[in-house]
Amino acid sequence: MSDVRQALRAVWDSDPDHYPAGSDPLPGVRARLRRRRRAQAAGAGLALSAVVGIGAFGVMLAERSETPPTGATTASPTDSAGPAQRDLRGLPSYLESVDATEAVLKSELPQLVPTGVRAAYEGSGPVTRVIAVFDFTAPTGLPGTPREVTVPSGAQVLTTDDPVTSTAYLTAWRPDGSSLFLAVTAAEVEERSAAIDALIEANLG
Amino acid sequence: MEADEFETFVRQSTPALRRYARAVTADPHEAEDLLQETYVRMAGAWHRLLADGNPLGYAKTAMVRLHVSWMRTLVRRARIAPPARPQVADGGLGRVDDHDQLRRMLADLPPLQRVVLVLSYLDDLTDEAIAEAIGRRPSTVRSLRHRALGAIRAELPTHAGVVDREVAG
Repeated sequence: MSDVRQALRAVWDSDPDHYPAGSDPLPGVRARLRRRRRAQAAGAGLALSAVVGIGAFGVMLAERSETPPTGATTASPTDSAGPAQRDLRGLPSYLESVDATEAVLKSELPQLVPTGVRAAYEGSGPVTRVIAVFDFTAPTGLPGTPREVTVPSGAQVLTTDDPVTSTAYLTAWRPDGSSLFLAVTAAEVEERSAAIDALIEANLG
Repeated sequence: MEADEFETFVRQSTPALRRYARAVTADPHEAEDLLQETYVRMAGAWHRLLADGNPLGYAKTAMVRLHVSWMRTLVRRARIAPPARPQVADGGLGRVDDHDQLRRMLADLPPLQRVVLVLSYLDDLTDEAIAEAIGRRPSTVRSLRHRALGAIRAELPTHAGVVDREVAG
């Protein structure tokens, strides 16, 4: 056994002399990392498209099912989702309204919060901060992993969870054209998801 | 900062890991591919690897697992084309170099058997540690090593005889 072992070791030890010296692997590693990031970005884009597509399909189905009977007066487009609102319902009771600008500046990604009618809430419970923007002006890409949610109304909703910033994000477009952006910060992903679900139920239901 | 640390690690560990990759694959081209793929995998977990404090150990395990996972691909390829053997120098006078002979035998071994030999004799790992690294049972490790050594022993005496005869002239 030991002779084979010694022979194997001798072979492996002589490899650097036997084979030509290899080149610096760093350029190849960097190229592979770039390709991988591009592929991941493309995959994430595909997932986002799928989520938005499912939402759009839901809206289409909802609109079909809400076709008014012949002769009836046309229903207001806001009937199903209510008028564009400026108050956020479904918040944890321990959160209190705070200055929105300060809250945005304190968040991990302030540049992500779109312009619009902003409101912010902070507290010392499991959820530490909620930033809401009503009727935001520009749609924005959301960081993190897309998460499927159940939306009771015909609103198009995109939700993601970003563990890096401990924040769950939501953008929603109601059938009446109003929109809502949410950023919910909590240490635990379960708390973030539960808070987002409650806010969807209360504000988009 | 961490990107710099990672690149420094790559530069410092390349000679050792390249040698290891060549031992694991028995093919210099495949070794380069395995080496780069291992670094790519490490880049994704660099935070954790720094915290664990043993990136070189992680690299070796990742390399072995990557190579074993490629086995299926290699087996599929083997059904289409015969496995490529590294070029063997014959010394110019028909005398077979022992190292080249053994190198060719290693290249002909199934990847999992070769990996077990590397982990056993280059890394001096226990059967339990090898089993954990390759995701098999210790008894399977012993069996793989037995078969690998058997294959080498079966060829070595024959070739040793050839070498002796050729040397004797």
